[in-house]
Amino acid sequence: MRDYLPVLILLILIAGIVRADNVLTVLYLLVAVFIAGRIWSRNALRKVTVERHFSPNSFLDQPLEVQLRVKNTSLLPVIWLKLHESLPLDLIAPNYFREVTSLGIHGSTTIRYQVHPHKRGYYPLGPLQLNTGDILGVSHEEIAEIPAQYLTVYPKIVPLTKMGLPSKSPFGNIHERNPIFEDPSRIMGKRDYVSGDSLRRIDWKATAVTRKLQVKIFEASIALETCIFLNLAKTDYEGHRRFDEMEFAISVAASIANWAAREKHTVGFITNGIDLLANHTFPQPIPPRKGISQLMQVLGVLARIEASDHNNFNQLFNQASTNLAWGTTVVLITGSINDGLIDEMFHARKRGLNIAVIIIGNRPGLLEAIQRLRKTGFIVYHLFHLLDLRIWQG
Amino acid sequence: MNIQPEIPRPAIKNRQTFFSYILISFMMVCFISILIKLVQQFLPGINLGFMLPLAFFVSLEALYTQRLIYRFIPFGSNWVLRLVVEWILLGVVLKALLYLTNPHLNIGQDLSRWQRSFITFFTAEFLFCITLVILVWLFSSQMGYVFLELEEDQDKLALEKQGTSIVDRVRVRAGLIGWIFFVGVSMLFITALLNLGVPQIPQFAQPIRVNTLILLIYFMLGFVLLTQTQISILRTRWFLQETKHQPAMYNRWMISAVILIAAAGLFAAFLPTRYSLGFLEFLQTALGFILYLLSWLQFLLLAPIIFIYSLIARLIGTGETAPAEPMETPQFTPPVETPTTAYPWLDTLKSIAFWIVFIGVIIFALRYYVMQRQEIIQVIRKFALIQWLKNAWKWLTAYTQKITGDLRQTAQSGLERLRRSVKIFPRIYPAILPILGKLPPREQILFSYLALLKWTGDQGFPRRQNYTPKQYELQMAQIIPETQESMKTITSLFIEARYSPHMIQKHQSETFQNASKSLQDVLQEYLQKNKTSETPKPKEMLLDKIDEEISLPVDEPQENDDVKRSDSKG
Repeated sequence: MRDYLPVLILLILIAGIVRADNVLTVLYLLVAVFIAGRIWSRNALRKVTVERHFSPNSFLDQPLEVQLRVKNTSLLPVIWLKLHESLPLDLIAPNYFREVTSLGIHGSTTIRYQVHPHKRGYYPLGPLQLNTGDILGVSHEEIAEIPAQYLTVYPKIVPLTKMGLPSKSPFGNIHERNPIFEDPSRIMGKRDYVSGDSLRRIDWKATAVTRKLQVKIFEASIALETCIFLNLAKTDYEGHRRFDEMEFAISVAASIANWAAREKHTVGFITNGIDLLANHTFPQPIPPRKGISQLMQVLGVLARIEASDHNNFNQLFNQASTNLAWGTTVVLITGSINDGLIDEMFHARKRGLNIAVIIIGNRPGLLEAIQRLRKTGFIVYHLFHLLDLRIWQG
Repeated sequence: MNIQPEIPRPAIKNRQTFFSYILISFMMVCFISILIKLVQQFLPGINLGFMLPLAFFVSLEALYTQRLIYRFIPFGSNWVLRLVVEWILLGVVLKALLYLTNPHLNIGQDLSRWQRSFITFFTAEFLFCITLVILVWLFSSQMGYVFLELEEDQDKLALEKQGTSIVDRVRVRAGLIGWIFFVGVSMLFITALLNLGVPQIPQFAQPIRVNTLILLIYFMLGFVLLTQTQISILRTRWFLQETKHQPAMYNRWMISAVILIAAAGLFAAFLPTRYSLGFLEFLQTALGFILYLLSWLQFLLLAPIIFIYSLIARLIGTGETAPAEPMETPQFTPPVETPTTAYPWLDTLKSIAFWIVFIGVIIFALRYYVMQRQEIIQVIRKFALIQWLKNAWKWLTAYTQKITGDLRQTAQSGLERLRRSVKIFPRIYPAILPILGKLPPREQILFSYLALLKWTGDQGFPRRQNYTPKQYELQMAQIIPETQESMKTITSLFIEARYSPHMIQKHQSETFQNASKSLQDVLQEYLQKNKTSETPKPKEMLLDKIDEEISLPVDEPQENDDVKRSDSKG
């Protein structure tokens, strides 16, 4: 409008001096075009709604489509609308998505773009900036912003088929030849009632059919209650491979959690890493539970977790392991072993927990510690690379 | 003479450029039509009607020539040669047209005169006309040059993208605006002079409105041209930023621009351009109108009081009292000095509209001027009087806000009290509403529950006959978890009303009604969401969900899936 201002003033002066009708008419035209254009662009943006639709969770290397549903709810068309979505570089290069669209009266459109997550994490999609202007370009462009939404990319999961972790629990899902423990949820068959059988084992429907007392035969099985302890203290992973080793540790934890959930075991997760959603502090321990939702919860934490500067893994293990049920299998994933941790492990074993240790990487003194642990009956795995997980792939 | 080798002629790249050229040519036609009127004051006998189409073609020719000589060295031999040739041709064509359209000019006589003295070729008519043609040619060339800079030439844009060339399109566009308004204001000035009736120029018979129409058309075409340039600038920017855009946007843009500008033109054409009230009279009228409104307010407040007083006075009076004179309603008569229409109020309105626009533009200009000079504002703010005024204004606004807030709160609390004192039944009970209020609380709950079941069934959430109220509650919670709270309240109150021997209180019925209302809100929101989704849920899908067996938990919900599996196997 500043381009037209001197003209407006000149027109007013001429109109005032000569009282010329045509000068005033032109003045009215200028004012009307300016005001109409300004009102149009302001109102147009206020009535535009944008919804972002995408799956909030994704796995690595799986392209993810994001839809932006743009709708104009007003009676004025939106002549041009520029959408600029800021994106992380880890998902897409360049780190933005831009498109210009146009909407009619009550018009809508869906704009799609794809992101390719190559790294686990918790990524913001957005914010989305909307720009529009009037048709003549007489007023400044209007800008609005839609806040970001977050995408969780889970860590790399290697499918495992057998873990070989021991269990002492009387009920569960792994078939066990030892007939001492029977799982009442798994019925193997039926037989005739024998004196001494518990009345609770009588199958009344089968009895009604056969007119003879029938009792249920249960399958013997062992349940595997698992709790994963992941050590992400930076000081326990040293050297130039620290980042890779920690990422590998996270992948191992995710793969084990996935295996446990698929095998219908209960799985829990405790770590000393930093969770972005927990105000950059340690995440709340996830107690052992079954189900896919439990797995998603664990994977969500693993996606967001970052290394920590504090080395309090020993205390964390001590505190958390006391809350675990007898017979729980503890999978301890760490970059190094110290005497204090070994001590805690011994105490935990005394309390009835089964400990399996997975050590990532190599550093001085580690081999002796591993030998010591194996001699004292602990199950220890020493892994360096994802390929090492083949030992659990049958 | 050293003639440079001919460079291939650049064709017009797109229809947008061609359309812009047509617009410029029509603008020049408007410009020339005003100038013709001026020339005709000095040469009344001459017919210059042919100048209008000639101006159109001269403008197109100038724009095309600009494309040709754009790459030539200015004032180089090729450049000069082309222009000279063009001008000679234009002069000859103009002369020929003058002879064709003005029979009183004799070409035979003039030819022999030219042989004797060629200077006689340049007659007064010819000189006037060639001046007009030169002006059209010059203005068109300048505008054409601007368009060449703004043109979306792919080769130029590729260079810009590489960074080897930079074009400040905004500045170029500002130049175009300047040219458009320069020509426009010149036209305004000429028409103003013509309308004034300068003594040396005799009065002409044409109505003034035709000139206004020509001016309006010129400026409207100018705005459409500016729209084109805005499109061009934005599309170039998006190309350089590698931003995708839809080609179909252009059509919508142009259509909307034409509609908006045409509407603004119509609006401007019908607004008043003369005022019958001076500025002071306008202020007086405005103040008078405000006082008129206040007096009406006073009348409305006092009239009932005075009427009641007069009744009382008559009642206690001795009997023979003069009938009370009715109160006169306030009147407002706007002053009109020289009415131009049959309706005085229309004159007043027209004057008010005029002064509002006039003052509005002055205020805008002043505000813009001051905002551009922040140091002035800083100095003014330091004055004590300004500080005092600022504080007084703050106090006034705070006081007004407080009063408004108190009034709003009072109204809201009154409404709330009213609402609480009235039984609000959910909207599903219109049929039983007349009797529901008269029933005891127990029957209210029972009837309301049955009506609610009917409503939820109609919405796609029917209750199976073999389901208990608790099972139905669980079913609903499974489908729509947000209904859990409401359903729990509704079910527990229904069960209590249905099976308990003790008295059911009124507040329990009210709690039931509130829970029903919130349940309905949640369901309607859910149905609305499902209606707008791409795959709307048909009723059958909802019923499928109902088909799942609902087993009532004894304690907490089971975590072990195998327990459920063994039950189904058993």
